[in-house]
Parts: sequence; structure tokens; C-alpha cells
Amino acid sequence: MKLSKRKGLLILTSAVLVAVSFFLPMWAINLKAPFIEKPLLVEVYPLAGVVGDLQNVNIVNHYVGLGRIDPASMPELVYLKFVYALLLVFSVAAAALNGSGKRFYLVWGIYIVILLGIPIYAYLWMYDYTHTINPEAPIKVEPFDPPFFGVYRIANFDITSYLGPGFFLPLAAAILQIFTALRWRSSEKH
Amino acid sequence: MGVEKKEKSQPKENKVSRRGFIAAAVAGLAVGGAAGFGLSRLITPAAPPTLRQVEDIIKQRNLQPAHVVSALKTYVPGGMPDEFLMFSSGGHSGQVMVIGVPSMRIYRIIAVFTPEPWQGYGYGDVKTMKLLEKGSNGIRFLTCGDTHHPEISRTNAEYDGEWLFIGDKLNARKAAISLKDFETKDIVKLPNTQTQHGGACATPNTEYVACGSQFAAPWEPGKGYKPGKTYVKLTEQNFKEYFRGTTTFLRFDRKRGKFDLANSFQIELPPYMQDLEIAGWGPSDGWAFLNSINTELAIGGVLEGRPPLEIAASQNDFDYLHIINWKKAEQVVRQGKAKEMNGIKVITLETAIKEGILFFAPEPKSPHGCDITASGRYIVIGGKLEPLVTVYDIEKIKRAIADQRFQGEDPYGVPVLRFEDVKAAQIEVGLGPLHDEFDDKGHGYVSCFISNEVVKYTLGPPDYTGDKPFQVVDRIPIHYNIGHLATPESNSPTPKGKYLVALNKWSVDRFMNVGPLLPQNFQLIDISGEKMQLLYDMPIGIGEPHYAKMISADKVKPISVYELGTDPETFQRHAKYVEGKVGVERRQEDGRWVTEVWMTEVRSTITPDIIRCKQGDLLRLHITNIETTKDATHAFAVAEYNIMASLEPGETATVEFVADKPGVYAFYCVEFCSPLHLEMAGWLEVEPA
Repeated sequence: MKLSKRKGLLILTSAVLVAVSFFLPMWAINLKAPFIEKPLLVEVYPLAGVVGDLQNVNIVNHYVGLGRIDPASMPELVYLKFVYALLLVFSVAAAALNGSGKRFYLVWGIYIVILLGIPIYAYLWMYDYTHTINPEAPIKVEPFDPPFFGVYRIANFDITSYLGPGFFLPLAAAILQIFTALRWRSSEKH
Repeated sequence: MGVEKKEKSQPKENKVSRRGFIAAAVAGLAVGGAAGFGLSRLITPAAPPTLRQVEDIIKQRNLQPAHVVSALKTYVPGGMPDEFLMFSSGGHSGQVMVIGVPSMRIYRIIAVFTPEPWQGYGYGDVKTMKLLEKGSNGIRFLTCGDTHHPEISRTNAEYDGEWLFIGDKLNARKAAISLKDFETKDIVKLPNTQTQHGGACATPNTEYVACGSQFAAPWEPGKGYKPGKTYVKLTEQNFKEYFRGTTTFLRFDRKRGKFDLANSFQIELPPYMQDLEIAGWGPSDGWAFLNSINTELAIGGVLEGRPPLEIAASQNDFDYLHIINWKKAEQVVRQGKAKEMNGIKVITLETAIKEGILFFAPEPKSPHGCDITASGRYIVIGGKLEPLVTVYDIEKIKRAIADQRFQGEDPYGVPVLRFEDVKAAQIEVGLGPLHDEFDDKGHGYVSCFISNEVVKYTLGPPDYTGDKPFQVVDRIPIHYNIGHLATPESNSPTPKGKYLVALNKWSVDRFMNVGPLLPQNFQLIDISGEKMQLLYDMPIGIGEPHYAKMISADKVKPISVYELGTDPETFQRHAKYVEGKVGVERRQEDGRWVTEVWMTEVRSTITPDIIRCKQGDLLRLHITNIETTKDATHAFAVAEYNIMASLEPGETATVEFVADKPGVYAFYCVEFCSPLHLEMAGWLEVEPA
């Protein structure tokens, strides 16, 4: 089967978008307080896992009984690599199947489910984290909903958390594919 | 925003609302974390003041326009840096002060010769104990000093902002302070020397840090001076024959941050009172200059029928400016012509004269101050008992030496140059001229102790190229009794001008009365214009400063946290730091019980928090502050045992003491580090033997 030039380009673009995302943060939280010179930044990378000023976050968290964030004891960070590998496979497959109707939509659908599953899982993890509070902590807090996405101004802290390019690049690949699929289909019709 | 709205509707009791705690939880209850919670919404910030309001304040406070100008020129808002850093000696506080200019705020006190608890200096922290011990004289554990003349390390004669040197006049010691962490790294006792005053002064590339002695020490002929051992009966004749001064060229190993006595040398000098010393650059490169007083060789003796020292030492119209060819001295030492005495190679007076290392030039009269202009050409001496500043020309000095034009010899055989042959100019400035500093426009500024003023004058070419060289151009009264003065990067090839600080000994009526021991007065003077303008009086209530060196703030580049597990003594990983290790180990070592503890400190826990040992154990605590955050300093102190250590973020320190008294003792983090600072504590149990 001879690959058309534009399909080749689509496969390449999708693969590159997903592959590049391996090295970029998929989620980040930035915590700014007046007494901290540099804001605390914690990022989740598909390959590198949780990166950032964890020590300080942990120091602060232990006062209120939030668990210790230790990348070494988070199996999901291992899975995350495979999930992204899977994303790469599915994005290439979907690109290759682009224009072949149902099969494309099936693969694309699985791809999008996996992709959206990542932040959903992360949110649930965070939810669990902020609802599992050590009752012996020096300062009592009620469980709370995690600041997962958006800008928060709380007490003297400015918190910004956002999905990063590690999420949006694979999403862009998916959008590109659905967009091309629709275009190619309509161009076939005419 | 949604989050905030929800928060308002939640009941607030003593408990912090859960929303508020996202912040606390994730970003820090640490210092001040929750303090502003909830209040920020109720208080709106003040509107910026209008010009009218400013005028009202001026009226209400009864200020003159000049005051307002001074305030505007010196005020440095929080968060903004000062333009210059001034390192001031603390005199007999034994410390160094770090002061910002023009704000005149004290940023740091650096412990040097004196134990200082805040920095955990001298209270059980092994590296500081060793340093004080090493800097002692073998007969006493010295815990006081008298810091006089700071010096900054140089590269091509320019101040490079890496190291600071300071001498102890009282015990003839020299210290090196790293400007990476503003901590003392080395102290050496100068051999064969009892007191010193001349330095520190660094050679152009900090090959050596030099300094002359002050009061001569008794020497055993050929063997030098040993503290606590050398005795020579004090008589006028013996003083002349057996007492000696020195100038010491201490080799400094920048990499290790240590003085290197093995590669240092010393020159034996007549027992005059050597005073201030400086090493030249440019045309004076390779030469050092050291003035002297008491060429009368008086020893006092008011009860023995002799006049007091102050009278007897002030009889000669001229004393001797010592001119030292240190590069030649270095060669002579390499040729093996120096004699090892008490751990240092000494060039005897005889050798110094024979090899052409030491020359004298007459200098009026009981002088003080010995400074070199930017060009490196002029050596400027304050007359003290003559109202004159005397300017020597190195070109003339070199020519006279080359031509062997001498007026004679001093009683020790040192060739004395003719005053007229080496003098460039004398300027009548005022009464009691002491020290000179320079600006970037070819001006000198001299402190006049007796007439209570700073006098500004012009130098000669190439420093000053105008048509009125060597003339007084301005004067300003000071309050009171000025000793030294300091301008930014003076005594280097590129003085910066702009400010002058008068280091005044008396403040009399300048500040509120705080009892009979009055603060000193640092007066900041604007020298950017033609006329000097007084800007600010700064009380110094923590010492008696002598000299200060000022450097552009951006030349100093300190770190803010150490790499985890660093021993600040070496900036290397601490020998006992093991990542993650905490625990107590008790074992015998050379027949004695040692309880060795690996400890960590982090907000807000000391681990372990219970240490059990037996009476008589040597306790050896390796404490690491595992914080990586700027300013997250912890400390460690043990009640009743006089133990105090400061642990900056990343630092590992070893604290050692003998647990010789049984009991149960609290220990805690002495530095208010976090909301649970009070709980950052533990127990030391010393079980009776």
C-alpha cells in the first residue's frame, strides 16, 4: 500500500506531537507566597514523573497531615510512561487509518479516551490525596477538593494549576486527526 | 472567584476554613503563612501620598530642605539593594560589620576573633572551636580580639569581592573571611609578633596578605619571639637591642581559603612602632610601604623617672616610612637566605639591608595612614602631629634608590633616603591629619582628628590633571574626632567616588543619650559634587570601628543556601554527612565512650529527638539542616551545657562536648523557623555513671 504524501505527513505530525509531549509537563502547579523568593513549582512529566520542589511542598503539607509525595512510591508514574507509549502507538495508528471510516473513529476514540483518562485519573488521585488526612497532624483540616485546574487566590497564596503541553500536544494531534478526517471525507464527497 | 465565594459561606470558628487550607496545606504554613488569611479582603491598601501630604510631613516634623534631600539620597526601600557594601572593623568587639551604603543599615555581623552565639561561633560547633583554638597563641584560648584594618582580596590590584581579611591588633592575628558565605575560614597567629596594626593589605593578586607589627616584641637573638616564653628584661638598652618589629607576608591559598605559613615570610624590623601598611600596584608594584612612629625608641616608665610614652615618642620631627621591596624579599627567601624561626621564614634585618629589601624615608611627624592613589604613583601619609599630608612619588623613590642617594642610616643600618629626593608635595590640610582616601577625579580626602573635619585636596598627575595640583579645595566639619574614613574602592586603581564615610570616635550630642558608653558615629558624606555634603549620622553601638573598606555591591556574590551536606569550613561535603542517615551509635574510641549521633533538622522536627547517653560520654552530634529553602535556617542549643550552633540551609555541622553532668536536658532549635518552632525540640538524657 502506497502512503499518500499528506497521510505520511499526518502520521509524522501526530507521532512528533505525541513524542515531544513525553518531555513536557502534562500538569503543573505553581504556588506563590510572599515569603518564598521563588514560587514553588511542581510538574508532572510523562517520562520524568513528578518534578519540582517536593521537599518544600512536603514540609508544608505535613503540618496539616497531607501525605508525603514521594515519586518513588507512586506506581502510576511507571504506568504513565506506558500510557504515553500507548498514546504514541494509537496516534500513529489513527493517523494511518485516517479516512478509512469506522476503523479510524474506533482507534481515535480509544486514543481520546486514554488521553482524557490521564487528567481524570490525576484529579482522582489528587482528590484522594486531599481527602486522606492524617488525623494526628498538628493542625486539623477538613478534607477538601483539590486545586486542580485554574487560578486560586487563597490567604496569602497565589496558586495556579494547569494542564501543560504534555497534555495539549497529544490533544492537538487528536484534533488535527479528526479535523483532517472530516475534511478528507467532505473532499471525497465533492 | 468561585473558590473564595464558597469560602465566605463556610462557618469560621477557631479552625481555619478548609479552603484556606489549600494554601496552608500546599504552600506553606511556614513563617507567616496563614497570618494574612481572611484579612486581606477587609483592608484596602493606602493610596500613594500626594506631594501636598509630603509637604505637610516636612512641616510637621520641622525638617529643613537639606534634611529632605539627605533622606532622599539615603533611603533605600525594602527589597532594593544598596549601591555599596562596607566592611567595617568592630575594634575590640573582635568582629566585622557589613553595612549597606547609602542606606547605612547593618546587614551582618561576622564573628571572627570572638565567640558569637547567633552564628553558633565558639559554643561547641567543632569547626568554630578549632578555628579559635588554631588562632590562639598556645598559652591561652583567646576569645577576644581588636579588629582594625579590613582588606578585600584583589585581582590586578582591583578588589574582587571574594575574600575579606582582618587583623587582630591585640594578639597579632590575621583572619580570612569568605564573601561567599560571610564566614571566617581561617585565623593564624603571626609568628614572632605580639601585636599588629599594619594590615591587612593584599598584594595585587592576593599572593600575600601583609601586615606590620605595632609594639615590638622581645626576641631571643636568632630565635625570635615565643608567646609566654621569651623574656628580656625591659630596659631602654634592651629594648633597642632585643626587641623587634616585623612585617609578615602571609601566603594566601584562595582555593583552600587558608593562610599557608610554610610559604609565607617575615622581615625583621627595628623596634619602632610600625603602623599602617599598603602594597603598591602599577608603578609601585612589588613595593610595600609601612609607616612608623616612636623612632625615639621610648619605652615609657613614668614611675621610673622617664617621661610617658606619649611624650617621649613624639620628640623627633621625622619618623621613618619603611619602603619594602617585597618581590625582592620573595626572591631572597627562595634563594634560601631566610632563617626559619617559629614556623616562618624570617629575613633578618641584616639580610634585608644587605639585599636591598628595606629602605627608609623621613616622614613627619608620628604619622598615621599610609595610602596609595589610584595611579599607584603616590604614597600619601597623614602627618598627625604636623598639619600636613605628605605625598611621596614612587618614581622618585625608585630613582633615589637606584642612584644610592641616601642621607645616612638609622641606628640599625637601614639606609635612609633624603626627604627632598622622594617627596612629591606637602599639603597643609588641618590639625591631626590621619588617613587618606581617594575618589575617581583625582582628589584626596583626609581625616583631621584634631580639627574635626574632612579636608578635600587635589593630587598631582596622572591622578589629577587640572591646573591646581596638591591644593585644598573643600572642607567639611564632622562630629566628632574622626579616625579613619572610607570611600568606595579607594586604595585601588579605580576608586568610585560618590560617598565618603567618616568613622568618628565620639558622637557626644549627635544621638539620644544611652548611658556613658556612647555609640560611635559613622557620618555619610556625599562627595559626588564639588562641595561635600553631610547626609546621615549612623550610631555604631556594637563596637569601636577603626577602618572600613567599601566595595560595589555587585562585586560580591554570596550564595544563599549550601549544597545539602556541606561543611562550610571547606565548602565540600561534610566528612560525616550521609544522606538520609539518622541515629545514635555508642562505642568505645581510644578507651573512652563516644556517643555519635547523626541528626537532621527540618521544619519543625529534630531527628532524633531523644538522645540517651551515659555520664562521661563524648557526645558527637553531626547535625544537618536538610532544608533547601533560602532563609530556612535552624539552630541547635542544649540547655545548661552552653552549646549553641547555627545551621544554615544545607549545612552539616559537628557539635562536640563531654556529657559530664548527669540529668535530662532539653535541646531545641533556637532559630524561630516555623509555626511549630516551639515544638522543634528534644531531650538529652545523660544517665549517671
